[in-house]
Amino acid sequence: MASAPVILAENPVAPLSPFSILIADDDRTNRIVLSAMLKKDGHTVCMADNGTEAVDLFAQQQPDMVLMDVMMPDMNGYEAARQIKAMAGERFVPVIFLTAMTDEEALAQCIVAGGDDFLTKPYKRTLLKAKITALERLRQLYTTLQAQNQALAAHHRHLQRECEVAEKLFSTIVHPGCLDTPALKYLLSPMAVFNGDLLLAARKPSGGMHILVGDFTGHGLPATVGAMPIADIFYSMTAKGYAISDIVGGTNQKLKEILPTGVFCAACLLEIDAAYSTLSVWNGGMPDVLVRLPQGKEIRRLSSAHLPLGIVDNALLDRSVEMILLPTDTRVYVYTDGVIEANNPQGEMFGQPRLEAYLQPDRPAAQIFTAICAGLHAFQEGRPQQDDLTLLEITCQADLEVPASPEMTSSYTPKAPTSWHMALELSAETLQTLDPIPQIIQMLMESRGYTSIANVSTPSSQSCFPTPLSMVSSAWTPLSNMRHKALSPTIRNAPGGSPISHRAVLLSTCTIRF
Amino acid sequence: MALATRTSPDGRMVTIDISGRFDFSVHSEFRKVYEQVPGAAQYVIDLRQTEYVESSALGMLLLLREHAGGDRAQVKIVHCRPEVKKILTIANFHQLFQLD
Repeated sequence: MASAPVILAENPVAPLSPFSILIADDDRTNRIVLSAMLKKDGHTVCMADNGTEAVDLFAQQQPDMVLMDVMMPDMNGYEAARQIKAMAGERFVPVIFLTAMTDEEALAQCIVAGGDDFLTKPYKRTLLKAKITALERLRQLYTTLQAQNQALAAHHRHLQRECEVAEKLFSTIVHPGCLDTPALKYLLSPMAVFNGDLLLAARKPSGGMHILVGDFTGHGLPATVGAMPIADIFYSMTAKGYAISDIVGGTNQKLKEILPTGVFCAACLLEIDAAYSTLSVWNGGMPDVLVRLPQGKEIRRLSSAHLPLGIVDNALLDRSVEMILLPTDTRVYVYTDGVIEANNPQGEMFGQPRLEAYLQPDRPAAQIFTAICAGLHAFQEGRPQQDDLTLLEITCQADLEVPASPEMTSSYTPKAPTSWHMALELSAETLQTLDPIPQIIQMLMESRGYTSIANVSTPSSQSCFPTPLSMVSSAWTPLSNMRHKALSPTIRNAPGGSPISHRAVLLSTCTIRF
Repeated sequence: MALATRTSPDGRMVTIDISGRFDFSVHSEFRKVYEQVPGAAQYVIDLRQTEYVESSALGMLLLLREHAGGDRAQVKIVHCRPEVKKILTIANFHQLFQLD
């Protein structure tokens, strides 16, 4: 965090304003002469004739400076100076010793006891005044600095508290979703508290998964502000059944509205279908997505084909996606430019060829991710990281699909409607322009008693799907090259209930007419 | 100097040469350069001497494009080295700028 520059409120060489001085001397004449001189200059004076009284007076009156004799009855000047300095604590109260002693040892002792300067009697008035002025200047400088330090420290504490709250808020909105499934491995190393990189994953209600990997221009706060609406839109649109091309439109338009020109988000959106057999990618400004086919037989590169999010209006943004088939045990690598632009001490970049070398056939697939992470770390040789860095590995294997996450199952047991009927009529013209799947899923989600629609990824669960719904997706798919999913929702009830039987009941009574 | 500017005799075309790293450190200078020539209609960004283009530099190019009239802007980016061209291509900036 950058500290505010320290600006001196007062010029230290400006004429000094009067201040209060304590005189401690057992000689009455000395006290009177000194006091008259200081009062003439406008200072306030208080006087003590021994060490104990000096300490007491200091405690009562809190003077700004002390002129101290050494040899005094009751308590000598050394001890009084020690006690006064201890009492002053963080405050800087200059103590000038005025003494008739001339031996070096005794004078050195003045400084050891906490004195800031000394003058031997008899002294010249001009010399004493000069010393007082010099020390007062120092005192004012010290006081100013101390006040500024305290203000800075208070400001810093305040910022820290705000940061903690903001971080909490940020991590709630930009939560990692379902990143912690066995199918995904990831490396995220942010440069600041708030990351300029973004990694989100969410299950689709019809099975499968949506993933977003993003990289904002810049780091820290500006990137964070943009990350929040992206995460919000990504999760809510995924939950409503929208496809990634729709989410690209939703996030792009929002970022275009809120981000100033020159700030944008390179992003890659991926959609994996329920059976983990196809991958759809929209790559806007991110490095090549690498697809390693089983046994490393081939490495495919899905290059950026679009502008990053937040630069042009939706009307100018191509939202078409690229789709590839995923044989089982295919690995997909998505990463931000921080990975290929990581520097070694010689200023050389890690580069894509070095990254692709890890995907060669000779390396067992299960070891690739760990090897890349170790390789990156070794390459940088402990140098501080220059950019945010994100690396994601997706393993395409249907049996890695995990059951719905725990938050999807609550202890609330709603009474599910046991028999109902839903009819939806869409004309051919409507079907040419409107994707019916999000609407149908939203209606199903909102039907009372169902806590969520969870994933189905096995062929057997698809086979028990009723004909009308399958017809919707198959009849509709050819109308748009952006859609390629078979809709296969399961309606999941509260825990303890059997999702399968409920689905059977629900879907068997669900009809859609054309 | 990381930035050098040449203006055509009629003041219509401004050429900006950038050497070394094109990153956030030249932000205010880059902005000043194109704002200083109010009558300019065409801009040429010469990256012959540019070794690296950071993402914030892409942001600066977008600001220049906006200054030059947004979708009607005439901004040409010329003489890119292969590694610089790759960064611009990944960002699909050929959709917004004329890349040579």
